[in-house]
Amino acid sequence: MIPHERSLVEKLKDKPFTLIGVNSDTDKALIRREAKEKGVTWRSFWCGDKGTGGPIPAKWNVNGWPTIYVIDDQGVIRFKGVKGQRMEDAVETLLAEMAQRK
Amino acid sequence: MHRVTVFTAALLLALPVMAQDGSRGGDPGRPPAYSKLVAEFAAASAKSQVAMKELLETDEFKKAAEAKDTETMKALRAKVTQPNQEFAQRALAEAEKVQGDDRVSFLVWAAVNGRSGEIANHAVAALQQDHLKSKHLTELFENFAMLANTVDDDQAAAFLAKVQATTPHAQVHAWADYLEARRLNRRGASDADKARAERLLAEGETLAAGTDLVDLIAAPRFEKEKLQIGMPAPDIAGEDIDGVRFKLSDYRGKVLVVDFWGFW
Repeated sequence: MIPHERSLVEKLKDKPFTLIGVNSDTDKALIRREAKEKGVTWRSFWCGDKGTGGPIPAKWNVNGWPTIYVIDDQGVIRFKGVKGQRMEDAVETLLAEMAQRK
Repeated sequence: MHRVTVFTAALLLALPVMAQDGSRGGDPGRPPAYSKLVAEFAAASAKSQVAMKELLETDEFKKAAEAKDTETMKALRAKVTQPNQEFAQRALAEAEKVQGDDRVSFLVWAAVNGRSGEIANHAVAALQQDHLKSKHLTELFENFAMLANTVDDDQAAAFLAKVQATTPHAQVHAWADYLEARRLNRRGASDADKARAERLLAEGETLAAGTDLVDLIAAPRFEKEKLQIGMPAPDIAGEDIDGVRFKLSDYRGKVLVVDFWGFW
């Protein structure tokens, strides 16, 4: 999963697009180490030491990982549960919409 | 790259990220033997994870993976020793040397980290026998959903019912309500079970007022009412990995992917 996200973030670095993670690892040292190793550059909320049981995934009813929401520039949820290529397509669709409105 | 990308909460038990003790690690209220167990387990787990990583890079494993030879892959993986059962047995032995909440801590640790139905069932039986009034049962319940495939269903049902009938603590009672509702609401639930689950969730929500558990209980409704396509995304406020506070709404005006993820 991470390679796809990394390439998306890299590809769209000049576009009005941001990937925000909600990270459920409990060990911060592991997160830093792995992030460096795997080229994870995006910002994540940290769910605390309860990990997958932390307050953010609990509130958003997240029971499977990864879970993905795609939100447009107006703050509206437009896609849910899209992964890999479908996530990329969803983002491109919304960016195209924004470009058209200008 | 061999990594698990999709799994359910129940499967988390089998993953190394849970080989940790969560918030309870450095608690000064614990007996020294507990902290020692947790620390030594963390070291053993780290070693095991390194060994597993090395295995995935061996030609033998790569060849088996390429050929989709799952039997060989499984056999090779099995050669990497996982410390969970050994340490859980040790926790059970330590539990018998102490009493009260210290014993609860060891029993809970064994159930949560043992990755063994036998150990988990034994620990839950001991908690049911002697510790129904402990307020520390919440520590078990916070991890109980993960144990759904480990603890026998009959035993889980009996234990939750006893807790509901016995505990003097609202928070423990609320957890038992919530977990029993989850158990009742599984696939193919009868209308009667679903109705009972609804009542339990309503009771649990009242009992857990003002705590994080309320969000967990209300989550399916929150998703239905606030997290559907076309709805304005609820804001998220929290801290990043470096402890800097930020909000999802800081990024308004951009297309956003919100990705619930982890390395595990």
